[in-house]
Amino acid sequence: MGSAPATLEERIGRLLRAMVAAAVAVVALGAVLYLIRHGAETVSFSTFAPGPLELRDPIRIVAAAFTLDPPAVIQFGILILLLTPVARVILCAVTYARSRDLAFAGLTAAVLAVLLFSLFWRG
Amino acid sequence: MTLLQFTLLTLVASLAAGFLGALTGLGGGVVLTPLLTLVFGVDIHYAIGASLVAIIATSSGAASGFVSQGFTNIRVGMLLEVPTTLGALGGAFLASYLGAGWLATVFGVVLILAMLASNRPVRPVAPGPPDPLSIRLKLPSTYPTPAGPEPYQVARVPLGAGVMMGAGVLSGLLGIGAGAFKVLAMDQIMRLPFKVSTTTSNFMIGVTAAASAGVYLSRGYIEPAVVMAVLLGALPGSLLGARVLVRAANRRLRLVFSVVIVLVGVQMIIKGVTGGG
Repeated sequence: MGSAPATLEERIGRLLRAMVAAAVAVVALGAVLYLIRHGAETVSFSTFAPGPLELRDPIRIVAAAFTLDPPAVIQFGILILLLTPVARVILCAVTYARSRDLAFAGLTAAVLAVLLFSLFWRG
Repeated sequence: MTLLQFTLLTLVASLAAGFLGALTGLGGGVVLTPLLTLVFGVDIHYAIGASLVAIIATSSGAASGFVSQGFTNIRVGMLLEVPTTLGALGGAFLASYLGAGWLATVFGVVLILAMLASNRPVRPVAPGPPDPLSIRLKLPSTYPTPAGPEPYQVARVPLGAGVMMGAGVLSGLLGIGAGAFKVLAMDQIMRLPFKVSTTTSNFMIGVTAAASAGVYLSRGYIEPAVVMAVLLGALPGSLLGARVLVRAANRRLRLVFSVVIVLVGVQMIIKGVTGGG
């Protein structure tokens, strides 16, 4: 069968929506904290410069988020969001592996590798 | 302006952008980046970062359930994700080598092309032989119709994969979903039924975007102060737009929007060429 059975799509859909909801909640929390602390400050985004490392490296982001540093909380929420497609791919890989479709389990694992590389490779 | 003012303005603008993007099927990404750069004067790197995050949210969070049920061909989607995500990775790295000016110019050109691609008259694709490779990979399937499941074949897998890689590069380079190009590849090249192409493309967009998001994050394109407003506006906006889409008679709206898109695309090209960014 080419299309996945409806139950697989349903399960994927429910998990993804839950993760997106969680991510948005965390970002909203961070946004509120950010505005409370810095809402009255002048900002400009017209020139690009990379921010501090704690806001660009996943592991540092998580650490900083637990100190409730508002931008780090926002980045943490974004990380959850970025992991949502990763979760989708993992779920697909597991389903293919369980039904012994090793070719597609392998393909899906390759896609997963690309996603993880993107997230964690530092160069 | 203050952070609060910026946040509120950007939130409302992103709401509208998400709404329009969903309503016209062009996606929020192509609306958000020009909005942020041309109207709000945000540097294009921050704009594509915020846009990419919004795309992941809208494609993963959209109520894909009842509409796409039975239409999405996950096997085709997953297979094509291999070249597409690799392309996206490449595109993201390329983005850091092109200056803001080049990014804006390319964005404008792609914007116009995407509009043309998605506005092609839906003419039936000439039937052709299925790709033997697709049979070996068990890609052909059925889609639901009132008369029962309708089978379909899959053609020209390698060419389709190649075009998908190109779509991936665009996605990673410009922070867009590139759905118009993905649908084009599946509909015209691989001869999938149109609804299968659109739903499978929607399935793929978030995964492709995630492939470049990590690079964007480490380069600093994802700026929390910008993304928070964009995300919290664009996601509800696009959910709303998807609801309205079902009921709206949107042909005239699409025409108006197409004209606007061309104008915006030209603006982006001008901005890029004149060294803005």
